[in-house]
Amino acid sequence: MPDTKQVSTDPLSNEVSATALGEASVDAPKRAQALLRTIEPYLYLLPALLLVGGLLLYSVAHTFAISFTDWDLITPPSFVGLQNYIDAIRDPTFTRSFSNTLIWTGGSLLLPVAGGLLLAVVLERIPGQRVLKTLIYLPAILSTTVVAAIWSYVYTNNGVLNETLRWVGLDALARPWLVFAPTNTLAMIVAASWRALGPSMVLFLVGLQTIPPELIEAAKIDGAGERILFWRIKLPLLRPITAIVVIMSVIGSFMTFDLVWVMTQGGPGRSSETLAVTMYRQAFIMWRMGYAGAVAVILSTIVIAFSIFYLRATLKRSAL
Amino acid sequence: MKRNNIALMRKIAALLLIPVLILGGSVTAQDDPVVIDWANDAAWHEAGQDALDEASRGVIGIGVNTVIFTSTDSYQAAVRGALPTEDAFPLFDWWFGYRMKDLVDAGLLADVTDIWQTHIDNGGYPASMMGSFGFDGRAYGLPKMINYWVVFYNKHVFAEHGLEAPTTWDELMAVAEALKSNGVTPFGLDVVGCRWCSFIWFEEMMVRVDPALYQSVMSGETAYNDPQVVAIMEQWRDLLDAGYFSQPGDFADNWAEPFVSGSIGMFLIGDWYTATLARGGFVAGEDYGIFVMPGITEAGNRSLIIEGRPLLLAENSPQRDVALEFADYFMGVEAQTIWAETSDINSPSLLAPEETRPGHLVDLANAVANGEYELYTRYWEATPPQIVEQVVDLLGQFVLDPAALQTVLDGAEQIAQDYWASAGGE
Repeated sequence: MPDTKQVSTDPLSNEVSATALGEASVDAPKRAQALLRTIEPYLYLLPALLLVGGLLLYSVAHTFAISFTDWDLITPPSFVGLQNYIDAIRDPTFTRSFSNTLIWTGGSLLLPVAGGLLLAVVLERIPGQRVLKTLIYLPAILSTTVVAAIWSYVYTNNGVLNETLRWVGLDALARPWLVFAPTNTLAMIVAASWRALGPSMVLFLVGLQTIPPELIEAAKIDGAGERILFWRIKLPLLRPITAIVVIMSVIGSFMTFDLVWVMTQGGPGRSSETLAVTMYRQAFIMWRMGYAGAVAVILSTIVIAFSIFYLRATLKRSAL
Repeated sequence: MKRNNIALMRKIAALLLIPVLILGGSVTAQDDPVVIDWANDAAWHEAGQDALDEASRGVIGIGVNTVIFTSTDSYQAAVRGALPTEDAFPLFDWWFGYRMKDLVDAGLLADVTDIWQTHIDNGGYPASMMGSFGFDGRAYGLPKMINYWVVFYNKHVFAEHGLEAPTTWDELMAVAEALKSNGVTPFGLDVVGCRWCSFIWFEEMMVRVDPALYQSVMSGETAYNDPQVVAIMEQWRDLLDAGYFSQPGDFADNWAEPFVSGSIGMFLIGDWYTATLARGGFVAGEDYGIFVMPGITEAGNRSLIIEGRPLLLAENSPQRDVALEFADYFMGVEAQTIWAETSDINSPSLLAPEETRPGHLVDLANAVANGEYELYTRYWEATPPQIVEQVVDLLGQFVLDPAALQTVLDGAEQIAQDYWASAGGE
């Protein structure tokens, strides 16, 4: 009875009013219907929640858990505390992978982000931009493996790059590009940027189109030149797009794996390993799942921390 | 009315189907062979395994269902993950020597010593071969493929410069010098596109000088920086310094192209490289030949590096006994003949008919059968992978910078010591 009383107080529900009149026989189905209506949206979400929960959250929790164990897939994992983290930090190869990853991050900010912005600003103003935009975007439709294979040939001792350098008289610059560090990492960043430049340019072009033309016009009337227009009007207004491109580039650079794996396998002598390659190598070549888990946790922590810090700072400035 | 008729017809059809299904089920149980899974990561083995499936169904009533993984890494992870459970693949390809040792130590592989012994007694396999497929006198794998590591040489290039396949170390050096002076790189070697390739000349130089020393280093009894090892490596360094090798970065993990074009005259690799050259239209015997690298010492003349691809049986699979029965059939002449013919490989069985052997490998296979060579396990599998995977990177550094020889060997010894001193190095 208290239930009926409680529900009957709801002035918005006709069904409930009927219940209050004593039609006890229809009470249960009506309530079931109401309950169903409440949970219905969650049922639609359930498959996605299960997918995300099952695949992502479980994987994250599992990786975190195994990072404290010694596990080779064939014998039961044993708890080793923080040993994998200590081993990773003491391992000189981990340090080199970390510095290579930082070089990738710097290179990705410089080439695809700054380069994409520069191209977008330049291409916006010149005739024939559609053809050029298509050409610049074209490498983005290639898979990373194809890009890696193409550039592996470009970078051979007698490849296109060295031959071109010799042809134009710059023999001194010709070198084995993928052999010695840090040249091999820088060379691979150029290869990756060749593919990434197009998408970031397109994002910046979209951003430029969202800037109200009257704002540009007003600035021009006030005597602003191209340089002031760019630094004082366009760049500040592109901040949300820049934030997206920067975040995507940084996350991408921290996850760099496939291109390096195909071109140098992190070598020679592990000189071009990135953190993602170290993680993969420890997991699937050395069968040190715990160590690989520790590298994954460190990598993810850095990426998440950077993303939060950067987005907060950028969005706060945008809000101002 | 119409709906009722349809429902009635469905019921009648279902009733009629029941005896058919029962009969069918019993026929299936009687006629169909037991089928077990056979996993591997080599898609080109599929035709051969399918032919074996068809033959073994008729002969022993056991079929095999081939499960191909396209990525070696995911294949290894899937097999390792399943091995401790009943979901383990009853039959699967693997890597021999130390690459299968952790599976043996964990008790995950079926003991196949008795099968080996039967077929050794029949004269099907040399007794020395079993050692590469097990430990401490017990065997845990069967030879699916055996490859020998030989020097491939471009016959056109050799003919052009009036050279012949060398039979002594001095002749080999003379050939190398002649090629170099004619603008041809004597030996191709890539440690940039091919990370692991750095061990090829390390193991070869070791077995060409002192094969016993090689085995001693592999088992951890002799140090990587032992003066004898240093002396051998210095000989390799002299060859690097003499300009007999391709330069790092010369080619992008494609040895066939410069070899076919004649810019490199020779390279050392497993005889399986025949298939790669054949895809490029380069014909064995006509366009290129092979020879076993001559020894630097007398002991080194009889050495031959062997690489095996073992077929393993999962101890925990509920179908283990069926797999053992199939394994016995697989080792026999009939299965080996089918396997060699359909896959165009050199059967490890000594009894396989000569016509099944690829032409350029007949002499070598016969020489091995006649006991002319001592077989030494390839470096990749001859010592624990925890050592190999790190030392190949160091050897790669040596190829790039031969002056770093001592540093590289000291580093390798440190890695080996760390491993052998740890629990895993029992």
